[in-house]
Order: sequence, then C-alpha cells, then structure tokens
Amino acid sequence: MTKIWTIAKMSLLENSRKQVFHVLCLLMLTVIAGSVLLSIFTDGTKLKILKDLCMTCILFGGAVLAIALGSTGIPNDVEQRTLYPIIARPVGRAQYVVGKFLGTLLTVSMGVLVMATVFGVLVYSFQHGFDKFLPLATLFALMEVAVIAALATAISTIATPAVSAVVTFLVYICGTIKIGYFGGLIEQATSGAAKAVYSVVYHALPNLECFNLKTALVHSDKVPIAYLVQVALYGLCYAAFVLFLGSLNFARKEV
Amino acid sequence: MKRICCLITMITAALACPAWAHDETEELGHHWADAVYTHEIRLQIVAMAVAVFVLLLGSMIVRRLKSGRTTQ
Amino acid sequence: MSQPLLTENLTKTYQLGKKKLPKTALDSLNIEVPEGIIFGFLGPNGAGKTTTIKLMLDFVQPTSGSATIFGHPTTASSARSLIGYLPEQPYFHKFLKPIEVLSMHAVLAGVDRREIRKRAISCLERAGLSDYIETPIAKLSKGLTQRVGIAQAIVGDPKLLILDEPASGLDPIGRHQMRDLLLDLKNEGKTIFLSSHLLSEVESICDKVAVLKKGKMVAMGAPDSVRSSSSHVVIHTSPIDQDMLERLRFLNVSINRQSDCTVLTIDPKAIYEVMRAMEEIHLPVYKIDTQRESLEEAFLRLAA
Repeated sequence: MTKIWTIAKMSLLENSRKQVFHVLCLLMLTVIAGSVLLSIFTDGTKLKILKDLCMTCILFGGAVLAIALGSTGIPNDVEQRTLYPIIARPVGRAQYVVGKFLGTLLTVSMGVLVMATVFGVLVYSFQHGFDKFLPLATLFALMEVAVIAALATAISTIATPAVSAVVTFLVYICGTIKIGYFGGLIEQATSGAAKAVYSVVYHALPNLECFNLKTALVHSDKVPIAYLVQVALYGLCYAAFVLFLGSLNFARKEV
Repeated sequence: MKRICCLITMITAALACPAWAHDETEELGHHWADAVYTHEIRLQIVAMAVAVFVLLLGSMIVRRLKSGRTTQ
Repeated sequence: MSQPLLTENLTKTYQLGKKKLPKTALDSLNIEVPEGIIFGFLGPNGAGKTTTIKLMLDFVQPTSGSATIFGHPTTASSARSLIGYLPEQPYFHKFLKPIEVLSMHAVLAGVDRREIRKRAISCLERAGLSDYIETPIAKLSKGLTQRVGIAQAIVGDPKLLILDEPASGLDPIGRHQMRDLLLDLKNEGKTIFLSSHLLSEVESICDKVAVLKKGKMVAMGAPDSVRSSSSHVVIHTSPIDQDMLERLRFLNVSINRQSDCTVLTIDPKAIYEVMRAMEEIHLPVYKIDTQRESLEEAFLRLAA
C-alpha cells in the first residue's frame, strides 16, 4: 500500500503541474462564478438554474479532467522513460497502474472540490443556508470521475494518449446516454445480430447517469439510501474491474 | 492523428447534444425511481464478478498446465 | 548461494512489422556473473546490450531461454528487490529535488521508513551531490542528473547493481569519482553489471567482460583472456622516403608514417630481419617497445 501511495503522490504532483489541469479548473470556475449573472431571473428559478449549471460544470469538468489526465499519465511515463527506474523496483505493474489511477483521481478530486466549494458558497449566498444535499451530489460526481479515470487509465495501457482520450470520451458520452439511447436501440432492432451487438455494447458500457444527482439537487428530491448504496458499490466495482483489466494488460506489456 | 481525434471528439460531442440538453429532464433525471437502472446496476455487478472469476480460473488452469509441461 | 546473474540460452526476437521478418536482438545468450565482481558488458550500438538489461529487469519477456537473479526468476518481484538499476539516460520528473527522488525510490525499494531521509542523504553524498540535495532536477546539468541516477540505484542497498552507461555525461573528475565509487561498492561485496562504451574504464575496473555482437556473445572472460595473447614489437624511427618504404613492405611490417617519425609494428619473430634491413638503409632506432593488444583493440577485432 505504501508503494501505491508513493506512486499516487508522484502522479498527483505531476498532474497538478499540468497546464490542462489549471486551464480546465479556471474555465469551470469562471462558468460557476459567472452564473451569478443569472440574477435577472426570479429568486426560485435563479437558484434552480444556478444549481443546474454548477452541477453540470462539476460533472462535465470532472469528466474532462479525468479523461485528460488519466489518458496521459502512463503513456507519458513510458515515453519520457520515467517509468524505468520505478518498475525496476520490487513494484508490481498492477501497483503502478493503481497508483497512477489514484494520483489522477486525487488531482481531479482537488479540482472538483474547489469547484464544489465555490458552488456551495454561491448557493449559501443565494438561499441564505447550506444545501445539505450538495456534499452527497459532489461525492457521487467524484464516483463518476473515479469510473472515468479508471477507464482512461486502463485504455491508456493499450493506446496512445490521443486515442485513449477519444475512446474514453466516446465511452463517457455513450455511458451517459446508455439507458435512454442504447436501450431504445435494442428494442427497435429487427435483426438478431444487431440486437446481440447492441446488447453487448449496452451491458459493457458503464451506467454513468446513475451517478448524476443533479435533478435531486435542483428539485430537492429525496433519493432512497438503498439506491445510493447500490450505485456507490457499482462505481467501486466498475472502477476496480476496469483497473483489473488494465493491470492485466500492462503486466504483459513490453516497455 | 491528433486532428482526426479532435474531429471525432467534436462530432461525438455535437451528436450527444440531446443528452446535455436533457429534453426530458424529469424522466431522465429521476433514475432512482426507474427500475431499469437498478436492474442494470445489479446485472453488471454480477457480470463483472463472473468475468473476474473466469479470468482468474483460466489463468490458474494455464499456469498449472505450463508448470505440468515443465515438470514432464 | 546462487549466482547473482545467470542466463541460459536467453533469446529475444522482435516482430518489427507484419510483413517483415522477425529481428533477433539476442541469440542464445549464456552469461554467468559470479558474486562480488565487476562484470563489463560490451558491444557496439545495436548489439543487444540494452535488450539484455531489459530482459533481466522484466521490462520485456524472452522469446526463449531464461534468466535468474540470485536464483529468482526475473519475473519475480523478489528478484527486483535485490537489484539497483541505472538507466542509460536517467529521467526524473523535473520538478522534483534529488532528495525527493531518492526518498521515493527508497520507499519503493522497501527501505525502513525511519531510515529513508538518512539513507537518501548518504547516497547523494556518495554520488557527489552534497551541494545539490535541495536543487530541482530541472536546474541540474546532465552530469549531475546522471549522479542522481547513480544515487537512486544504490539507495535500496542492492546486492546487484545493473548500470547502463554510468559514466555517460560525466566530466573526467566525475568519471574518476565514479570509478572509485564502483570499486568501493565492489569492496562492500556488491556485484556490478556494467554496460559501457568506455573501454579504458572497463579495462581498469572489470574482473570479467563479455563482448556482444549482433545479439551473439563473441567473447567472455577476464579482460586479459579476451585480449589477444600475442604481442607486437613497435619501433620508432625517423621519417622514411618511398624507396625505404618499398624495402620494408616486403618484410610484412605495418608502417605508420607520422610528421616527425615513423612507427613500425612488426611480429616479434621478424625482428632480426627488420633490424637488418633498417641497418642496410641507415634507419636509426629512436625507441623500441613491445605492445600487447588493448581491450579497445580486442573490442574492435571482435565486434567490428
């Protein structure tokens, strides 16, 4: 565990110095801060739009950060040869992959937490009270980030940074519209082969929409705890499974 | 390569606009009330557990076969 | 105790393209490195030295054959816990300081948490980096970065050191210090596997050498046994004209004409005949010496 943590810490230090991290964080913070301008609306709608916009920023910004950082971590180490002295140590390749993933997750979490803090302050100033659901919604946004970062890290063990970023982005989009879109495609498919292909894609894609608690935050809905526990467990399982596959591939990769 | 990747990303993002727009916000947002989501989550957890089991079992069998060959 | 390093018919082929034939980078390599020695691994560029090192560290898998480190297969993590490795051109994150790099590697090498800082500082001092402990890598020169690489290789107190071009980028003083450090490490009982192009360095410190050519080992043994046992007689004489040159050519003499003198290299058996011929054409003898093949000459003979 100490070795994984050491690799994660290095990855965090490396990622937090990347320009893409600073630019995306600043961009998202600008959008969040700019949502104050929406004060032209009436009080109730203004708060709803603020919550909707800020949560979308956190979800989308977190995902893009996870893709940008997750898909470059391992290939950069291979290309710059900073990997060699590390894996020449008694460190398993799986430990290295998990360490890189944790480093990415920690970096994105830092960015997401800063966004969530600014969002929380804005909500507090608008509704003159703290929104108790906000930390939970942020936590589930971080779980979505964890799944995407795991996907990006795993894909980056087989592809170049550009290709893994695009593939992860595609999976992210498809995972977000999975139930509504791919579910409909299976129902509409007439041939057996098409149905089988859609079904495989449907069940392999991550169900990312379930981490999105934006509607509950905006409308102050109650979400059953049993459901949240299931989703949290699902997020952990999916991220662990994807990392397992990535580690399996990286263990045999010639560097 | 980078240009092609950027192009694919932009096209995908444009195609996915309906997802961001959330035309049917109420229906899409309240996933906790939709049994399809819960069912899919459970199914995927079971499928992943089975896949891990099969992979581990497969690698164990391959290792045994390899060590058997070496001994012979 | 098992050999620090042992390879048996170690072979590696690379498939460079679907339509191209596979390229053999290493062909049935058999190496035995006894404990407590400095082993020099020589070969021209593309001979397969780095591939061998990559196979030892499990960076790539062998096509056939095997390698063990102190009896452990190279795939086992236990093998890597006994190794300290210096890559050909060590790369570290530029934002880190040498002390941070070494602390990280000490953790990865399994050094006791309470000892990490002390060990890191002591290794940096041994590598001659006492004044640069807190300087970011980005501000260090190539030679100093190389020293950080050397320090990180020894931070885990390994039994076997695999050093790929350790003197690369070092100035003459740095090379001298490196040679002293390697000899100190050898005296501490460490085994050193040294891949280098600096043949004079290898000749002066290595107990055993192996020469690799196009993936095949062409010679292995003590530097003395690798060099040709036959020696030559070298005669320095005055500059010679064309007639004299023709006369000497018949005697199987290698002639090197320089601005102020001529150097004749001859077989010891032909010395009386050559001396007689020199007397006849009134050539003076400035200096006469015997010369044995250097490791560099042996390397050129074996690997060129």
